[in-house]
Amino acid sequence: MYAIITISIVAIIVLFFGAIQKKAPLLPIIYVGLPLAFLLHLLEWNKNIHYYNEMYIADNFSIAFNGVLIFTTLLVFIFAPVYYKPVNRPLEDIYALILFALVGGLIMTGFGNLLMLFVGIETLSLSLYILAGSKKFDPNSNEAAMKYFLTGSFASGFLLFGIALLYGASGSMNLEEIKQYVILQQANMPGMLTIGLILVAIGMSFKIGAAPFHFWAPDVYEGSPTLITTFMATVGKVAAIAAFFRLMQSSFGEVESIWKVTLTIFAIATILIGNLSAFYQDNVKRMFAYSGIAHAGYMLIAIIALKQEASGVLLLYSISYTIATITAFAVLILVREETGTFSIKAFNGLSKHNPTEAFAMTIAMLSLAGIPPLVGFAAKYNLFVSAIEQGNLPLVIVAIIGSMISVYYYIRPVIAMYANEPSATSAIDSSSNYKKQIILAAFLMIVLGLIPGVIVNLI
Amino acid sequence: MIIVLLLVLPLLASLLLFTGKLGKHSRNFALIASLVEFAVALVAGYAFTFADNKILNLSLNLKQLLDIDIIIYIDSISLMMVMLTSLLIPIIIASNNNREVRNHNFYALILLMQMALIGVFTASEMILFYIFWELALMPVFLITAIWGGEDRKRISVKFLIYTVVGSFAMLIAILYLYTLTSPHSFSFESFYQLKLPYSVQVPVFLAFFLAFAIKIPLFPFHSWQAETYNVSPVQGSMFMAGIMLKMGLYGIIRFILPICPDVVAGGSLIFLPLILFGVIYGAIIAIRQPKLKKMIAFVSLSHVGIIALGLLSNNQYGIEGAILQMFSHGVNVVGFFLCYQMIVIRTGTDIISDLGGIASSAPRFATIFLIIVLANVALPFTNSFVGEFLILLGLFQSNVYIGVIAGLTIILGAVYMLKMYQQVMYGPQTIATQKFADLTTGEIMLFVPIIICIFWVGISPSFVLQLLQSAVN
Repeated sequence: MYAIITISIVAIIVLFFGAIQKKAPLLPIIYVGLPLAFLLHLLEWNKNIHYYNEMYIADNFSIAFNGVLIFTTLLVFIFAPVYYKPVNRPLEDIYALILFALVGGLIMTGFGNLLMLFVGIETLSLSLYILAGSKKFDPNSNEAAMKYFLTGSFASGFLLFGIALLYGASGSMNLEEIKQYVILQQANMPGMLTIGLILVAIGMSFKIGAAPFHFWAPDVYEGSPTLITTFMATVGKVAAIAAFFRLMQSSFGEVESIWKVTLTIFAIATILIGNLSAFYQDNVKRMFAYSGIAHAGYMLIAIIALKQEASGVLLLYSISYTIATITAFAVLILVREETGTFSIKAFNGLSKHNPTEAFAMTIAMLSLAGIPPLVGFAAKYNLFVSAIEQGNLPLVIVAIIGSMISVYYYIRPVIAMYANEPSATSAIDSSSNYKKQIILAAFLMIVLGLIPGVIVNLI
Repeated sequence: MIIVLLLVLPLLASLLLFTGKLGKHSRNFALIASLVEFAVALVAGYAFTFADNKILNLSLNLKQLLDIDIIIYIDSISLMMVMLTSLLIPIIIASNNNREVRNHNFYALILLMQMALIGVFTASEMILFYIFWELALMPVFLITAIWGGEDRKRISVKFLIYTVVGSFAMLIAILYLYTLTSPHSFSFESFYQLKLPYSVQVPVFLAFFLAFAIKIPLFPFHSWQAETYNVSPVQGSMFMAGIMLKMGLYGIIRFILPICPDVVAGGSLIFLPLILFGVIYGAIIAIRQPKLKKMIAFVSLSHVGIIALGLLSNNQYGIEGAILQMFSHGVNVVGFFLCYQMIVIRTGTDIISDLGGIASSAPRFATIFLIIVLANVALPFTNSFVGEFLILLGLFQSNVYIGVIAGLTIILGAVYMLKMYQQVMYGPQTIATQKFADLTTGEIMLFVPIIICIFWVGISPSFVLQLLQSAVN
């Protein structure tokens, strides 16, 4: 709760400084505010506090995921000055919207009531709709915002309708009470509840970008400003996954049979469609959109197969996906600044002039592909072992085949960086701060890959 | 704890090299590190043979921290492979002559690869094994992709995809077997205790076999091999042919033989002829191959096929011979690549018909090359003879027809090796070979350990075989 309050206050202060045209203090306030919010949040560790009639639950699950969201946002802000270098105005609106979106994400990981889930999702999504169109004079950005808004509000409709049906069936929106109701009615489940659950699952699948509701993702990712895409692909996705996991495990864990088959089909379709489509992309940004879809599929496995006690595995997967994606986007932003294109060719010969960035990008790609000993492998390995222990062998085989396909497209930028002749004549300069962040992320991917147990056993 | 040293030493050296702080001394540093590693391996070998071998095992329960248990164990098969790795790596490093282009990263990757290989050969826990197995792939892929020759991008990606497909098949098999163990454990021991019914053994066998057959490579999964050997720098090819493909053979020993014994015993008439076909196929292409490096690739394909035949012959002699031959083949093929490198440095070409008459101007090189050629042909008193003899003996005992045909391929081996040697070394000198300088002392030093191994194993193999016998049983 403290984190939500702190970040909301930081966002309002940022808006205030923007209103009086002060540019200098904006980023420092954010850089201090976000870690502070996390520290305050940590005070609630191990206490399992329920706020406001169980509207919001600060348990270890939500605190751990909030940590991921907050630090990811912090990284996005660290990359912001480089991305917005040519822009002269204070940008307070964009910064504040990102912070508000983060608040939405924080609410989603810790909701205790379906209304809060909806509030969180809408806070996150509405901010993202605007952010997607924040490059006002770029038609692609406008198109992205429009597409995202239309499809996104449609999915919110599904979600809300589903919530209404769940309420109609069980008479409550509280997760715990729904759970009690579900256990009571286990033998003969009312149709209204089943339909409501499926509708909610469809709405959530849209938000995490799972097939067959993934069509918005590539266009929106491609059109949005790259920094916003980074935010969307990491914070947006992780928050939605955490919310989905909490919903399914805390209320409907006892009645797997009614949603397991549907979600298994979604997961298989997501993994295959994501990986196979990414295979053909030349535009790296689009490739990441599809790769994000594929990873949403892997995380769906966690929702299908994990029990609530094993949520550490999902946490590890989220961390591994987030660090690698954000590193890759950071390098992509740099490369795009220099070459003006998102094509794979933009990476040609990067290792000659910018060995650090090329190295970090390689680590990120290999981690996403799941090559040991990086964190991506540890995450996939834990996920697959947990899933297989629950008897989901066919699903795991599909996932492994998907990983096999993914190696090809993840290795293409690596090949371009190391084996091709450079297209740029000189080094792309990045601030030393930027470089440090990239190195730190690469280092984390290696270290966490060596000691994944720390994360898995955290919550 | 010596085993930790074996793993950590190359890793630390590699990390130090990656930083690039060593500049011009990178090569010497890498060489010294690999020699120290060899000395440690010798100590390990001494300890294993004559002293208490408790220091060669390590078992740490780190599930909370690492999510896997660290179980490392050296038996005589592992020891043999560790010796092979640590013997060949100094030679590979020292043979690198292209010092401008190949900077510190090249040596760092080689040492990283050494760490991964020793890990593969000593790990006694499935996931640990798998981690090292995949880790060993990346350095050689990067060496090929960065320092390779023409068309290196396409070929290195092809190589990567081939091997990754195999590894993932293996991962599926590992995870599946894991669900059958009780209590759930990834240690080799618990996998060995599984008594699988035949219907389960077949898919498990196929998954493992795919992974290992691609790595070795066996016909029909070999199509990455010739291209990759050809395009990779010589050091990369030495790595792949000398050590990396032994990972596949080692995998057969460690997994297929103990976990799927019924398939190996019952299905031999299905896969032995297929492998045998690959042996003959490789030999025939080698005879017609105009380029020396590609020829080595096909020779290797043929020889390795024979080793795989021995391993899958379901006969103790065959398996013993195959393990010995794994060592010998590694040494011989690296020697062969060294000779190739000497020729290419001096003449700038590796097309066999452009070469000739080298023996007259370089007698020392001619002698050394002849020894290596004869070792590849499996002449008595060379190392290959012992191994191939045992393999054939095993094959005869398990299936006479396959034994006879495999025995005949030795003749093909003599044909391509001697034909090549005659064309390259004798006859009139050509434009390319007119000024062929003989080997310098430094270059001869590279060959010394190889020649010692050829004769030592060839003349008194009993020492090594005794060590192996207990492990095979």
